[in-house]
Amino acid sequence: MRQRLRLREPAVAVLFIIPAFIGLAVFFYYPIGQTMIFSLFDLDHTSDWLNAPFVGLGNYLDVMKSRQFWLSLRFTFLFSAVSVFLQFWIGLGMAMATFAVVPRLRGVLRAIIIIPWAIPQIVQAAMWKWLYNTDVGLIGDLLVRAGLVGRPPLFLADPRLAMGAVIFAYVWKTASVTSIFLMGGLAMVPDHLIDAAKVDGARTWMRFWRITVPLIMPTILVTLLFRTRDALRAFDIIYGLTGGGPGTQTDVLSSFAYKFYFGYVEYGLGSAYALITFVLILALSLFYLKRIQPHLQFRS
Amino acid sequence: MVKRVLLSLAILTMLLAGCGPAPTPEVVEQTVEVEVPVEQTVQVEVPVEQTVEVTKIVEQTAVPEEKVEVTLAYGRFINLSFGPGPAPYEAIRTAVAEKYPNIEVQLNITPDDMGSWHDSLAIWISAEDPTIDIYGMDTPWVKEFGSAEWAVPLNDSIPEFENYAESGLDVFSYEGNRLGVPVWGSIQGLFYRSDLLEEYGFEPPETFGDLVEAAEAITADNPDMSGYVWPGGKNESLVMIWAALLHGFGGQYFEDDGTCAFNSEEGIEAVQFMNDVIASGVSPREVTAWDQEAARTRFAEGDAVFLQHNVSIVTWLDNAERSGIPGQWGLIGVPAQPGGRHSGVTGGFAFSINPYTDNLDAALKVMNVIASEEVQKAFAIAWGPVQHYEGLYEDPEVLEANPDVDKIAPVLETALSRPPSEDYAQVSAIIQEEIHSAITGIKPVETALNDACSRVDALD
Repeated sequence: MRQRLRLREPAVAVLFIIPAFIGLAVFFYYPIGQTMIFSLFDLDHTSDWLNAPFVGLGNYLDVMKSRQFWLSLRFTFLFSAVSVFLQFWIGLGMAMATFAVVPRLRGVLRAIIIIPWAIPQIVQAAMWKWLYNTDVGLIGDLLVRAGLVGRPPLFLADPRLAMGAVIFAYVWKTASVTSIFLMGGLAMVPDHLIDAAKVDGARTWMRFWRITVPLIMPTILVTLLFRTRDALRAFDIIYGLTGGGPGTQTDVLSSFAYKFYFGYVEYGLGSAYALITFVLILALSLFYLKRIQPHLQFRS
Repeated sequence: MVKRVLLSLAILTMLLAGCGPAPTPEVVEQTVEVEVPVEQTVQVEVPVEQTVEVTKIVEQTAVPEEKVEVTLAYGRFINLSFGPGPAPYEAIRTAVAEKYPNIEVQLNITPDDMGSWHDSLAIWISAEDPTIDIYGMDTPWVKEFGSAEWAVPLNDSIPEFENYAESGLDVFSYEGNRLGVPVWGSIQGLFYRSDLLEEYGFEPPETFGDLVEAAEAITADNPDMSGYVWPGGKNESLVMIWAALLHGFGGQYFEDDGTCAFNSEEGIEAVQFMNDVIASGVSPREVTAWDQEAARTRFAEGDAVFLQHNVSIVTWLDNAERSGIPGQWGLIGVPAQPGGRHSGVTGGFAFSINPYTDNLDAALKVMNVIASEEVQKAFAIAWGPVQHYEGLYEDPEVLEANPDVDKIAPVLETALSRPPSEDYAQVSAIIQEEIHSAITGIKPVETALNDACSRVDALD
């Protein structure tokens, strides 16, 4: 009689995890390890760290001494806070709208909402660059025709407008991503609770605050975690729109790693910038997770 | 064999005996020992090495050489012609196909923006990627690429270099190594509306003060026009504009000891001038967002009095299909204040070979074709001046395609290179960031220039 190979459950689980772990190791941990190594060497126009001078923490000290780094850190936090705030409320509004319309329009509305999400960021940057163009841009022209301004604003070159223009373009895309997350949470809200609240005379606002929000709180917290993390790492759309300008006003942390890696071909310094960004985001994420842990319970 | 010989002898003896006179019958019995020399032909098989010349007529089908692909990395302009001839890429492919039928030239389009173009090359070459065999190199990258050994020296590989102007080859040389075959060079100048200046009684401006005076007078009557337009967006063009103004106001890049001199009194005046023309409206505020194309479009459409730009547009400014001002423009060197120098910042491109190419032989063959008079002439007809192949601009076809080439001559004397540095990418980025901060009002001019010098001096 043949003996069948019986695996215990933990062994089966490990077998399923191995492919994912290999992928993580190759595409995630290996680059991080390589970046850590590069950051300890003076790599100028070469990635041959075995033959490059060892500088230890010298690259990190250079980063800390850089005034541009601290200015970009300030803008990165400001950009993240404002964009996450805006994309959350706009995303929540769009998500709730999909439940408020008649069912046969729900699919159409959801398809329209996710269109911005489907456009690659760098394509989106080119698109918004034309929309913001002073000479031929649609937005400036509409504002002039509406009588709101006398001439098209310098959206990307005026220091007073550039930050807002970049945030607006970013939120246009990310609000749709946020709404997708929140749609999932809203779908779990039991209708009978809402109906019962209506019968009891609760107004819309009260139903929203006292029933919907508490029920979807875990979804909200996880959504905010992911959106904040992505905002801290934002690069494509900002670099595509302004190149970090005017001056260095819209320079973000990620752009330093890019500039030093590919512009100046200084892999050592670029790696240091990248790792500092990584550690910062990791620390913030861990702190955030610890604070929201008690709230991550779905109430039935 | 021996037996045969003896038998023959016996027969011969009998015959001879039979032919002689009959002897007296006297029988003498005598045993005679006769030594008979025997000539003996002995056939011996001896191996002999022998060289034999054989003429062999063989009907043979020619075996084609193995097909090789050579990849060229360049911007989309290589597929464009602004003259009556084919686009340069087409000319290169045709010439290579004629001379080397087994070599096929492929094109990899690089970004338009010079910074992104540089970054693409930096990624490929530093990763020792052999995908690109030949790439386009911009003039300010020569020192950086040369010190990093990112281009194959061509000194002994391009016989056609003998037919080139040394000055053109020197632009793409580093420590004695010729790193590129130049295909196009340009220089900045000041374009002006000759019809308007004549109408309002102004001469082409010698100084920046003259320029402002003429611009203000003309735009006072033509409020929809811009006085003085230039690419002031945060890109490489801003560096070229600033460099010309810096020297025009009497400044220089570096002191004798190598320290940064951007923030000299003259340097501050130059950037302050940029601020002043924007603030006063002589230059539209949009210049701070413009690239070269936006600036030249404004001028070519007839909406600007002065344009600071490289001279490449002379090839089509008289073409009524593309320009709104045919025959209504002139070109001079960029103005200069007393004590300054008229400065036209140079630009240009050459083809260089990736040191990590897998097809060095084929790449060298293609480069020799690119360096040939035929292809250089194609560039001259398609793109206009300047090429450095000597005698090219005496060719009737080239002159017919470039009727305004003589207008460039006075500007050529004002040639100025960008700040020479092995860290040019960083120097350029610093200049762009700080100058743009100054002209957009983020920083005061002096602060921006002091910051620029601190950062440049801090580079290794």
